[in-house]
Amino acid sequence: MKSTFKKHISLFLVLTICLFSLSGCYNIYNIDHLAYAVAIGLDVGENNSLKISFQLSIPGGSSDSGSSGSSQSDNSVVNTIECSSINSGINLLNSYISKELNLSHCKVIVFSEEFAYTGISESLYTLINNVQIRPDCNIIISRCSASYFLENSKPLLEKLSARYYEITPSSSDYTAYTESVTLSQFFSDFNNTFSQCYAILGGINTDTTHSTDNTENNFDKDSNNKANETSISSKANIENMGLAVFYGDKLVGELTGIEALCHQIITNKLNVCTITIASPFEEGKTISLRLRLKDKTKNKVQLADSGPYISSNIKLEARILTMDENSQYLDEKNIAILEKYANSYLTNHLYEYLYKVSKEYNSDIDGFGKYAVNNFLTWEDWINYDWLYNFKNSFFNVEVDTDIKSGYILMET
Amino acid sequence: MENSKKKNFFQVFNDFFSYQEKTEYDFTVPEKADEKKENDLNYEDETNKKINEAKNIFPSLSVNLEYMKVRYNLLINSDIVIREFTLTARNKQYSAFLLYIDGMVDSKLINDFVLEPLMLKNRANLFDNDETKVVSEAITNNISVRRIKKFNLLDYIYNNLIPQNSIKKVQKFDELISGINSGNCALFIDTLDTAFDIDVKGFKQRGVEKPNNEIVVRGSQESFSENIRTNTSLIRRLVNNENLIIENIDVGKLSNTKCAVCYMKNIANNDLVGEVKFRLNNIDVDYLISSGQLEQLIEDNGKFSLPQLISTERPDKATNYLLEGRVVVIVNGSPYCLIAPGTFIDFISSPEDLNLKFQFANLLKIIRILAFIITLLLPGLYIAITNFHQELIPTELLFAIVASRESVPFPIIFEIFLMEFSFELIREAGLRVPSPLGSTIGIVGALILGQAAVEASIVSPILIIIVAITGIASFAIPDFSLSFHCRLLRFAYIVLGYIFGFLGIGIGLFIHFLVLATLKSFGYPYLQPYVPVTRDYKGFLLAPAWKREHRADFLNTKRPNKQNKISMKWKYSNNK
Repeated sequence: MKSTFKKHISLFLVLTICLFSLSGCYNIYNIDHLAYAVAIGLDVGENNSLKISFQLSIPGGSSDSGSSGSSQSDNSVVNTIECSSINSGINLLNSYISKELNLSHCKVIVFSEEFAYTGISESLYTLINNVQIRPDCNIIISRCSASYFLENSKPLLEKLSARYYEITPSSSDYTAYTESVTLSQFFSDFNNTFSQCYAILGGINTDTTHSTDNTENNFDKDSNNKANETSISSKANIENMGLAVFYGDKLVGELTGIEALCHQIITNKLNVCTITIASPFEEGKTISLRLRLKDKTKNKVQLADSGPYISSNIKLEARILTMDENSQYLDEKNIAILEKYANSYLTNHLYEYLYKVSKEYNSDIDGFGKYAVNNFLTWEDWINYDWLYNFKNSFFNVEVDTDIKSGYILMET
Repeated sequence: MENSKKKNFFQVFNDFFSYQEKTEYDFTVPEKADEKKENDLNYEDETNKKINEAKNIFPSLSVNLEYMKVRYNLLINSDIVIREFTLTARNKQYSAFLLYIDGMVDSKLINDFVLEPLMLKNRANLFDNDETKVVSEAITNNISVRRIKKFNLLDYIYNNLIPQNSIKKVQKFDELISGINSGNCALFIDTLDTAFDIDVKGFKQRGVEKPNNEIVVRGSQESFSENIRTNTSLIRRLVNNENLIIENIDVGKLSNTKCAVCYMKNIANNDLVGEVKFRLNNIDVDYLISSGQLEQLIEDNGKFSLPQLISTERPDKATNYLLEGRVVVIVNGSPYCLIAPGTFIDFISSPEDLNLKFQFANLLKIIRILAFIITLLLPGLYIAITNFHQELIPTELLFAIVASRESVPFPIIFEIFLMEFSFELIREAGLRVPSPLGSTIGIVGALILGQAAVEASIVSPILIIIVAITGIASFAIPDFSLSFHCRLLRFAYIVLGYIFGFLGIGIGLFIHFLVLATLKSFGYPYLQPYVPVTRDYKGFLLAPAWKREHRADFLNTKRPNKQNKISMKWKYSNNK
């Protein structure tokens, strides 16, 4: 009698606990009833405040439903809606398409340059607040309109645009011409007092957008481009190159590929990259180097009366890629000459980059604030100093030490 | 007032969730052996009651004959043989009869070693000395005093006339009948109130064959058969030590099935042996045919589908556990023996493990654990992901699933139940069909049905993969019962995954673990040696052969160590 009573009580307890704790789980999202957006684009609206584009993936596609079903077509549609806010846009789209929109597999969020100049704070908070959007989706600032960007993103080597979006930003790991910036990183940079946010700079590369810049040096042409300016003969397609620099929530400027590389050297994010410098041995020739960080870049910020004094000590390691039959890279003298050339090339670009972001854009995207904060005793002092505003007064000292190793083949014995 | 109320609540709370040893049982143990005997006979109907009142053998042969005829229902029973004959002893003749069951005895043994010496008049037997034998004789005062030994027919027959090795003098009918039922023959002689129980067993039985269901690559290829003596001999041959005790306990009021409790006297824990014998002695059933029945009758908790006794058809596996300090129970008529206690990890290990190098054995162990998890959870996880947590899987996989489901008319839950049901159907049908058709079922079921179902867009190909992996994983679990447990609970996890997603599966796993942690096998925690942790806990993996120094600590054996700290003395000997 006693034991049955105890059993009933236990059962009752378990059931009540389960009922209360599980009551949040009433909503099943059937996989068949969801439409997955792989990319979102945000533009300035013509008649309304916002123009939002969703790139919806159509898995399977009606054309090849007969074959075993696992095939994924590259079919995707872009729907563009004029609306007052992101969520009303989602609502409007839901009333238009047959399935419910789901953003959990959204890989990129594209803001048009025009939109970013006006400030993206509200959209950013709304996107972060959305439980479906992953914090690791990429942020791209497109030099064209976002809807045009999405419509023209035709994967060259992949079948699925979702994978294309996922893989493309990772090219920065080996080119360093841009950086894979995620929503969470962007938001945290935006939200703190140490640094400013930046995003991937993207564009649609067509023949008409190619750079017509007539720089004297041939070798600088390669990397001195922004997105959509590189001379690649291809059909219109997206290109990510350079970075978009923000002050607060507003876009203030754009960086080229080589500047993005400098940014990564300063912030210790450089994995490996290739740079091309003029050959010190022969006029008109160039030498390519494979560059990686030898040691962590040491940054130091001191506060002087005239403004912050920022010094960076950079140690790099390089391998020679360009070879011809006369190369004598096993000779220490030659290597030393080359090292000097490389150092001066990089130092020049680094100074150029650092003064550009400080004087021109006044945007501390390198996060020097984290080093500067050591100079303050209290938080109030730090806030009162207003680092992000005062960054424009900084002056820099860069020391580059490149350690060049010969190429991979042994030409002398 | 409020304070006392609070205290009460905590007390109640503690009472619910703290462990309390069980002190009350719902059954009573019969106290006297006699009561049990009487209980045993209650099955007889009223007419036979009188018959059963007779306990001892009568001195009159005709009465005995009539009695046995009634007891064995000779008029309708076809295979009972009564052979009446005249016995010659010391040149005197006595009526006698033999009773045996045709088919269970070796007739050549009866002819040559029972009937022939009793009936033939050989020289020694012809000697007649007035039934007395003078031991010594002394004459005093013309009075001769003779010390004579009276002729004892019973002893004479026992000692001189039946050249048989196994023969018993029996005075009780029940004892005799039990012998006859197991294949002996009974010899009744006129004027004697004692009968002979002569072992002439000679029935046809299956020999020692290859194991059918527990197949190993390296290791013995013998398996148990139905005969209990064959089985005990198989174990004895492997143990090869006089400390192996094989005790007989009869279970079943009607069938009196012989069960053998085997243990190592100098290793096994006395309490464990006592508990096994106690449980076997206190089973009140009419009959027992297989070890599967016995397993259900002696396991600690029958409510959960988890196996609590190891069941094996391999003598080497049984011997291994025996030498570890566990108790083996063999049931006559069943080629599977039971090993107590059984813990969870025993059902994941295979007899192959000990024959392999520890690296291979550990790899296999991990694979089997993964198989256990897959077969239990995969369909549940699939349904939880597709209904609740689409963001968890890679985008490409999600699109593959969506694409494959494009023209499937059913919701996923129905689809998955349909496929799981078909799979179980194929499995059951494959098991039940006559063996020549077995492969046909496999081909029809797996290939044609699966492919046709996909082509007809009734199920999605991804689901076929899920069900197939689940099925294959369930075959990787060495123990049949544990595999069954997974098959059963898989459906529970599917339902939980469908209703509550990962949260439901999490709660299911929590309860599952609770059950595992609560369960005991013959008083030993089910998750030993991992939970609770004991002295020589060596981690999850199997140690190399030279490092297995201790017997399982939780068994509390009499010999805690099974090998020296340095077992490979040839390598580390001081003499070198």
